[in-house]
Amino acid sequence: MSNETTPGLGELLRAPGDIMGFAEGQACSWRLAAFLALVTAVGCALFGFAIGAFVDLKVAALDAAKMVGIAAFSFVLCFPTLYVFATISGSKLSAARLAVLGLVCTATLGSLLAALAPILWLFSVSTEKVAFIVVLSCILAALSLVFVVRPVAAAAEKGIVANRAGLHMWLVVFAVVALQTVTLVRPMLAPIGTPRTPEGKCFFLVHFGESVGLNAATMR
Amino acid sequence: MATENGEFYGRLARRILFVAAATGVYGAVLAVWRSPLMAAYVAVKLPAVFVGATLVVSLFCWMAALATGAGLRYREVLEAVFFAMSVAGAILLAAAPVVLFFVFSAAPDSGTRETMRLAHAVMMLAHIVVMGSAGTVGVALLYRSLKRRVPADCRLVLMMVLWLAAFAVVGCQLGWIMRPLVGSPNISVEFLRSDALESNFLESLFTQILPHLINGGVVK
Repeated sequence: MSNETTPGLGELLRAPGDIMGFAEGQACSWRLAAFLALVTAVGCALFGFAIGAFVDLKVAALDAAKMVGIAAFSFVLCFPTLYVFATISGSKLSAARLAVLGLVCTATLGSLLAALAPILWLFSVSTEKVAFIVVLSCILAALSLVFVVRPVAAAAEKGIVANRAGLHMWLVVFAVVALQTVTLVRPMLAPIGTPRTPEGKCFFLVHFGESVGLNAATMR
Repeated sequence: MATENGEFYGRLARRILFVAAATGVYGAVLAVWRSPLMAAYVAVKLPAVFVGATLVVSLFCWMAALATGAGLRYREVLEAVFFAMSVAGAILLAAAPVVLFFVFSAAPDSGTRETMRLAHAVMMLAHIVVMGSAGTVGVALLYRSLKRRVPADCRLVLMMVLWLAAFAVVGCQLGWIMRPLVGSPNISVEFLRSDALESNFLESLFTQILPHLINGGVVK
């Protein structure tokens, strides 16, 4: 891969290690970071749209925006953790280059979410059960997260980090923060204007547990 | 020799300052859910626990190092244990924004006495897990570093187990004396409890925290 060109989606999925090397090299640029951020944002927006399609188009558009915000907020909040965990795992990259490596992970996640969004959309528009959509969304998001293991492995193979444990740990922290952020911006599966249930502060396990116990008839 | 001493004390002072600053920040995050005053108190007390525990166990650590054939000088032991503490401090510093987010988005401000007690117990357990994990990573890196420095016939694993056990016992008890750290919602904010020296950590773990969690917040 040439250092003068920005890699494409195919390279991101086929050979994340090349992009890792690209980020590590001298030519690491804002264009690469912007491309990766865009892939993340589009993937999350599509997935959010598919979730919100359960209710109506307005909620789908709102959920698309919420999902982009959730990903951005979680990434920013977890960036210090990424820096420390990667450094402990043997990385000598600067904070800026580590941000690009983090974006490679989130862009891979975004790509998978985008690919799974049509499947989620199909179920969203053809079911009445909130619990089913909550569970399916979680399963598909978890499945996407599993694929992020590949760029982490590529980082280890390229010698960017000595071991994978730190980055895997970061992925767990990122996922947990994202789930809590979803809880913060609830509801995602109810018409606009519906009050938050439960009101006030809420731990994500409580929220997801209650969502799974809810009946669609009470939400729509 | 004088230069070597100067470098050693300079390095040690920097590490102690970093540990104090990092644990101070985490301490503030730890108690901010209770009140800003409590956060200020714990920002002072948590560094005292970490630095105090390290200094208290350093002599035992040195003797354990001699007994297991590591052949480390006292100053090397001091440097080693503060290295592990620095790693733990860096992890806590990185985790602080994430923990703060959970405190503000998930921990309840008010509720029944039992709800608040359960929230307090969950938070205490979560903080113990975070701090314990940070300490474990610090020790793991220290183990890797020491493995290259000690003689081949040194019983390094035994030495590390002894060090870890000493840290755990002294750290927990010092933390217990310095309570309130998380800040029980049903007890007024104070710098130190009047009964600070009247009980111990293990007693509380088995008679209060674990039974409370097992009963799901219901006192039987």
